[in-house]
Amino acid sequence: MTIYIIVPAKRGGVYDYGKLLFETMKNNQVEVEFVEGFSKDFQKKKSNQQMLYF
Amino acid sequence: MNYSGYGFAKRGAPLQLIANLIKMKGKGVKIGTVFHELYASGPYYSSAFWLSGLQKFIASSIAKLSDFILTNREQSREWLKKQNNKINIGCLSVFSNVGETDTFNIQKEKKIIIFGTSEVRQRTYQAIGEHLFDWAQKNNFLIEDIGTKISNEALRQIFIKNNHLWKEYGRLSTVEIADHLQNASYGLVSYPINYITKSGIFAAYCAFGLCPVVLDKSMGAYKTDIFLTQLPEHSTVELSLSVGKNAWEYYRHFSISKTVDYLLTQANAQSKNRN
Repeated sequence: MTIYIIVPAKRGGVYDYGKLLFETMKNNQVEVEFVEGFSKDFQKKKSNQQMLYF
Repeated sequence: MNYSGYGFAKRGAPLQLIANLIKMKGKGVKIGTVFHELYASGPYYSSAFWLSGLQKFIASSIAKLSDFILTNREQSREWLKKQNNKINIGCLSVFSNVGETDTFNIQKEKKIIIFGTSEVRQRTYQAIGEHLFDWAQKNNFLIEDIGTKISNEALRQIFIKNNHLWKEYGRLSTVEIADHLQNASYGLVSYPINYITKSGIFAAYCAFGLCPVVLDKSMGAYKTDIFLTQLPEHSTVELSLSVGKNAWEYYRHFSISKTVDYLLTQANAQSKNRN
């Protein structure tokens, strides 16, 4: 099982919260990926990478 | 997914996100959503007023697409349950973004911390007024200000007048912030008490065992074991330590590891269902 932590690209408390979840899971040897954005802009920039994930 | 409408879209209504989640569901992906916010409201001249209905629709749609949910207020959980009562919906306060300590420090110094964004700190100074400096003078405390510089001219004049009681640190690293929090007695923040479980600043004060002082005039007299709503008339070490210890113990219930445990338990259960 791979867990994808999706956060809004906009920096702030929610982004930091997601980043800490990601780092803590990674330190606990969980298979986890950090995904920023997931908005229309994000899809334009990273669509290939994202479609490979999902 | 960590959901905050305004994080994903300028007006807080990320319709595209629903389409993306539907695609993901179609591919068999299980979705766990951490609802940091549901929807906004505001006066008729704000976009939040006009978009509130759409924001509600989006939050409701995401709730219906989710396989499990975590949120940070009981009232939010109740609203989410009405949208989707077939899944687990947990509720944990937000954890500290600037670290936490596994041991409660009883060697506190006579320091008051005011930290956070410049907007929140400005609001905090305005809420408590010059009483803060009178109190610090009377009780021999130092006020430590941590965060982006406050530019409000009236406040800067007050800071200059009280510079023997007030020290400005500007933006610090997480490790440096933790050092300051570890040793301080009180942490001040102006925040609506009904929403306090959403405050990362409050969580940070609890995580390091400060005695939180939450300023919210709308609540009037309000008693709790884990924070004060005003600086005590006579500061005693025992009082700040006692409330600080309660706050620190309260934090243990929603620390980073507790939150991660909750999410992993939910994710593992979903993975088993899929297999």
